Amino acid sequence: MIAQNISSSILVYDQNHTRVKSILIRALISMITASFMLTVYQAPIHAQCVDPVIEENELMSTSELQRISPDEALSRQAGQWRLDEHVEGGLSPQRYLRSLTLDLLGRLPHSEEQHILQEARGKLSEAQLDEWLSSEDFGRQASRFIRSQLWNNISNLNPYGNNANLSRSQQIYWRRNPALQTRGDRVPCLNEPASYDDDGELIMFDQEDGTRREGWIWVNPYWAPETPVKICALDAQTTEYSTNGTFCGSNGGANRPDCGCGEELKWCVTGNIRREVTSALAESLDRLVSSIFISGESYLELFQERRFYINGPLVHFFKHHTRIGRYTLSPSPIPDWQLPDFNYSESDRWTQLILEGEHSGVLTHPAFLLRFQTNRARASRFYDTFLCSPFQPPEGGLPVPDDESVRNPDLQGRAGCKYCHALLEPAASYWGRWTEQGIAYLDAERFPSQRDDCLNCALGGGNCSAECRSHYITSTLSEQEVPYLGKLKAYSFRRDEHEINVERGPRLLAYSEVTGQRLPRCIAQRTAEWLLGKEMSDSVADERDRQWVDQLGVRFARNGYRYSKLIKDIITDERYRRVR
Amino acid sequence: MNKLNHLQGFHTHSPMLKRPLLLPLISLALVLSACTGKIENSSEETGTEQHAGEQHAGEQHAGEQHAGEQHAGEQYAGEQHAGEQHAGEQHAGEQHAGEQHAGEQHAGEQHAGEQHAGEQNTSVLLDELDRTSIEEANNSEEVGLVAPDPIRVLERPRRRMNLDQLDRAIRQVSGGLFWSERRNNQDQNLFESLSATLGKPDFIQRTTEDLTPSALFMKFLDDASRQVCGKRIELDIAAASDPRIEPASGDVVLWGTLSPELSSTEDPEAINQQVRSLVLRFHSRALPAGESARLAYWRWLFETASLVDQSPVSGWRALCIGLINHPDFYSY
Repeated sequence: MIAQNISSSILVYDQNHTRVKSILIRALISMITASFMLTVYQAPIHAQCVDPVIEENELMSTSELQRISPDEALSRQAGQWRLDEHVEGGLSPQRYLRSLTLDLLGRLPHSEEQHILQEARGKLSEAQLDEWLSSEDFGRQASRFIRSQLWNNISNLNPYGNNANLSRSQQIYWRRNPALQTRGDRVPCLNEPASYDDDGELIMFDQEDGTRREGWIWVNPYWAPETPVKICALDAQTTEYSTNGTFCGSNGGANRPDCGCGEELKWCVTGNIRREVTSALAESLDRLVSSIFISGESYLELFQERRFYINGPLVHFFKHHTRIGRYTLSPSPIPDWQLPDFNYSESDRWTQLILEGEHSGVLTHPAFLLRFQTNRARASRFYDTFLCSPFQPPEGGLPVPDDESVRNPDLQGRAGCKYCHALLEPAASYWGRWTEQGIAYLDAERFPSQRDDCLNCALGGGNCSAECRSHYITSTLSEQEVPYLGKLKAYSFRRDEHEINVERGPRLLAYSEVTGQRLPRCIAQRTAEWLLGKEMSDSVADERDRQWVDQLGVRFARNGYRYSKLIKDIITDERYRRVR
Repeated sequence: MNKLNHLQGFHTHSPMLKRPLLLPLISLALVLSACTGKIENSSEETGTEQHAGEQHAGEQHAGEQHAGEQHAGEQYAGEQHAGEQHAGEQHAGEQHAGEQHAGEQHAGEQHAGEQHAGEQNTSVLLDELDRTSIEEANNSEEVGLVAPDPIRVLERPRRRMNLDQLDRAIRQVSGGLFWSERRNNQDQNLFESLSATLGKPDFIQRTTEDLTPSALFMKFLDDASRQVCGKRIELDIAAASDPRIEPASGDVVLWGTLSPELSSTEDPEAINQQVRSLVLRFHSRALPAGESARLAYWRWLFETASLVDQSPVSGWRALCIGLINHPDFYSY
């Protein structure tokens, strides 16, 4: 209607250029303007000003696409659609191209792509699609999608202990907490160059407030080697070990008065460094995901890949910062000998490492481990994201446990709790060799399932070593836990058949779900939800869509978990090509 | 699903709807009963039975699925036999329809019809009527008492671009310009700094992305389009007036290779062609040659804005802003 008005008004205007008619047209136009704005702002329902059927007929008359009617479409199943077909009432070839590039590449189609499509009379080539699915743009889109599932943003975390943080006052860097030990209060040094006596000892000046303060020195820090900064002399000490033998690059050493930040301040951090490191860890996971999808490898590589992407800041982090962390970062998942010789400032220089042990792709990536810090949270995320089976209490709630059951420390057997924990506890134990609240990896050689020294100290009452206290069961709250003394914490209440979970890691969890249909079906469902923009869970989808997702999952598994094939199955389907 | 399979059965196998004898049987029974006056409120009862059948149809999804796979003749024979077995039992037909296939509502009606006929002691028993054989029925015209449900068209909802897509799309159509604000001598991308406000998840505080074309989103999109289109025009006018500035390519300039002062009255076809190319660039819609409603729609905006300011440049600016604010741009 609006279009007709527009056409008629313009026709009049074109044929008669009189002033009077122009004024009349202006009045008409102002009315239509309101209609237009309404049309624009009441998106998307009222956006169509052209009868879509007529437009479709017109477009199809110039294309070589085979038109598929809804009746014909009824017999089609997942994977039975082709690119050279047009779904009746569906997107025009150009709009279909636009949807594909936006979804798969995150951008509008280029003019060359539009031109090629016009030349091909609406037929999109399989080769073009394959090229897109192996492009960097697609990698970014896929990793964006996986990020929405793994939530690998850890920018809110501070992985460092307070003793390693550098404060800045009057352009002078200093450590706030250790100042209590070295200067008598949390105060910076004097704003003057440091002085040394004839023996080369740092001179401390007594202050009226009772503190003793030194001056500053110039240091070229590791984050800007070309730009010297002022730092209080005590905090700039480069001693490796304290007089009591404590390593200065550790949380314990940072409190020692004869320990500082080390050479080039390597053991200290600023707020920017914290942000750069956490950002790099998240990006490392994104890069891993992206590389897997671009290379066209099996989707299962996400759960079994041993590659790890690392850049300058991460090299420095794993080389110098794993012992000054707020979390359990040591023993490092990346041994020192594997670390490349990158400078901290090389944040854009990325390379791949092949990790040892039972590393399991994204599931044991530091960004995932720090985002989900308990093994139960990690397992729960996997079940929710990749198996579409969130741990939820039943309708009507859980039964109230009786007195005896409440005292049962094993959640797998406690009434009410066991509804989820009977499954969750064995699943969580897949991460048993990765520390909770941390990223440390306990390799089987150094950390066997049971250690005699830990058992002895637990039974004998002696002082247990830090490793025993951190990673082994050395004390109990109930008699039922006694059999597990001296074992790795992950073995607590583990049944014999579940002990392999601890040793093989999360990749075994993924493998065990491959044999069932749950994993491929859920991946198909999640991908369909991404590309179709609507929920496809069993509780929401109708029977026909549920069957379709079933078929997608089966085809996905049969195609060797090739993600590109799954995506093709979805984007060629009529569900994608017809838009409401 | 149930609706679709119902229809699928109707179009392909038609196991439950190929029952030409059903309609004449019921009609005859009603006529005879009306003549004898022994069936009262027959229409109400029929309606009730039909409703029951529909209700079962809605509940039995799995049954529907099998309905399309079985042989029509076999299925019908089975139903008839079962119906005879249960004749005279209270609600036997309805129960049977509920247990069997959803599309078998007619079977349920038939059984119920038999049952009620017996209960009401009609003078004509349905089983005594001459019936069309199954073979004959298969060759007869397909009829149904209830209009089939329409085919549920499979489709997806139109989706709004996320902020990353939108930012990139605006850069693409504007030749690399983006919505920005000058802070500390640097151009800050406002799609990034306002991402939390615009519903982009950070996966810490918010884990889902808000993709609704809300009033807030539309307001910011309008701001972005006005700024970016304004920048584009300023750059192109500066390049046109200063030979030292290298002009952008025709693919980027809003008026293409035309003069910015060219009005639609001077060369309407050239303007039409440029409008078509802009619609293709912004909306990926290839408008056909010649007149079309969509072309008129956008050309009207260009002409109106040109007319108001007496400058075609204003027309191009309005067109650029209108194209970005249109749902065909920010949704797909």
